[in-house]
Amino acid sequence: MIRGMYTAGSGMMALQHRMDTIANNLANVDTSGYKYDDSIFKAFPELLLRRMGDDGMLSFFVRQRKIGSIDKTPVIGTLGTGVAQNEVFTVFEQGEFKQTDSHFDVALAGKGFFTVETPYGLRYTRNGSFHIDPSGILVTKEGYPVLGENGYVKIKKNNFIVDEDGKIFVNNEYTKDPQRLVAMEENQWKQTVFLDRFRIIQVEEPRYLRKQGSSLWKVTEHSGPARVINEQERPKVLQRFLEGSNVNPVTEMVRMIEVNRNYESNQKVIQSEDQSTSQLLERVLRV
Amino acid sequence: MLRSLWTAASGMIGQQYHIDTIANNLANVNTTGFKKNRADFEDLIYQTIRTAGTPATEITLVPVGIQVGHGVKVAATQKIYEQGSLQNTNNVADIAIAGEGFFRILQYNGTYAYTRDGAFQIDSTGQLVTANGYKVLPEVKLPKDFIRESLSISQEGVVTVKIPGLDDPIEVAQIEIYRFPNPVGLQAIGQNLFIPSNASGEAIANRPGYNGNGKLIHRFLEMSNVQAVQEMVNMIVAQRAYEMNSKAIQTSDTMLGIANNLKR
Repeated sequence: MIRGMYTAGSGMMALQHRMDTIANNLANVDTSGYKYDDSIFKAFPELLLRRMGDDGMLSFFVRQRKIGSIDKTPVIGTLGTGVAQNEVFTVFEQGEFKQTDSHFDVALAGKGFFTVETPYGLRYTRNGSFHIDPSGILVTKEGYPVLGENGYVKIKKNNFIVDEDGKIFVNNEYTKDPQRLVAMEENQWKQTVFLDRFRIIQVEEPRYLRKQGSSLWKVTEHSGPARVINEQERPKVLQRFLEGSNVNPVTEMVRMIEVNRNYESNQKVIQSEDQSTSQLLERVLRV
Repeated sequence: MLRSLWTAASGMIGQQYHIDTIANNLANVNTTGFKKNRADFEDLIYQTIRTAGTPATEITLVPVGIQVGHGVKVAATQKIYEQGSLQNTNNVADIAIAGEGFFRILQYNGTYAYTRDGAFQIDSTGQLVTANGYKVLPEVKLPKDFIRESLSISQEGVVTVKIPGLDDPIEVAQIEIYRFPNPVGLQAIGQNLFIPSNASGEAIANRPGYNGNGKLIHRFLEMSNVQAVQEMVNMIVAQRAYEMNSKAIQTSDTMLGIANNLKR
């Protein structure tokens, strides 16, 4: 039937997808380490329109003898046929830093991810709101161990310090006896030893990482395998800070208005197509 | 229907929890030994609309899939065990813990609970109990005819008291405090009490003042560690985030209205 209707319809459907993305960004406006998504559209393949039954030549004849011709192109031009959602693109901009009261909170300033061991394989996160489990292993909120470069990180409350390089130091006086808990005030750091360093990774193409929910990312075959990040690219690690969400509410609001209005204009296109069809049926084709 | 409606609704529900937490913190701004809560959020699962790596044409693959998130969830409400400020009460049965640790309480059902609220009472039998009448463990039983004002508790938890006819105070009990490898894993059960969980680890008994355990400060109480200004700022953030999500719902609603208006 009428092409414009389907074109505008495809626009409305694509805009719905964009609205889904915006709503998810706004819902995660306060989620630590969240990176906002942008939905990217692509045009459908274009059609080349051409007049039917026309070879494109207009010839002049005098007494059945061709005396000349002009070239009138039978090609009308191309016609777009609408739009579709092509990809959801995650923008890895730095989020702002929020100071917290917990020593188990760490934030990454710069590119890279913490490594988390889940039963389904290694996953990566920028949400550094960690805890310890009863045996002292550093875990995420789901209870998945956070990995250092030598494996699990076993620490005690009030007996670990993370420097800007992500190195974890402990005071060796308190590490031997598991029953010996430590208080902030008593820790003099007399036998400070290096324990481990956070395993911070990067992939070739972070754009192709896949979001898993629970602030976790998974590598895909297009992102390339995770490798420990180069020394010069290594992000700063800030203890007692969390990285806030990088969603900008103003941009999201503006995009929401844009979506709303675009959706409306697409609707108007459908309505006018509808109207012209009805005019055609009512007035022109009246028998 | 539009996915964004439910996504934004999850955002509103999440912010409601946030406000609930803040309201509880503010309500307990004057509760002895109260530790503030913090709500932490995580994103929900993602729906894959198109998988990366599927063929786009005969020779090319789709490099990036389309994944749409479904909103947000509350991942944890975490207790922040910062020291609260100490207030002098001059009440003989008040004890504050300065530093790490909890008092152990015997509940009526025979199980242990732990608290930092040291507003204790002395009951008719001379037993040290909480405001709800739960025994403090290890038991502190005072002699029958003790002089109330002479009750003294040292920083190390030694309870001494004078009885008429004796010049020297006598030692009646040793208060112990209990610590957990991961106090964040304790479960709050109300009445300022906590019970251990699998996440907190087992309680470790300790003498106060040693090995980094908290000291006991007699005739003082530990105030709530809620900071009103911080909570107010959090409240503004939560309210605005709530509002933004409601706008997303409104927009989705308008879009549905527009779609409905297609048919005149």
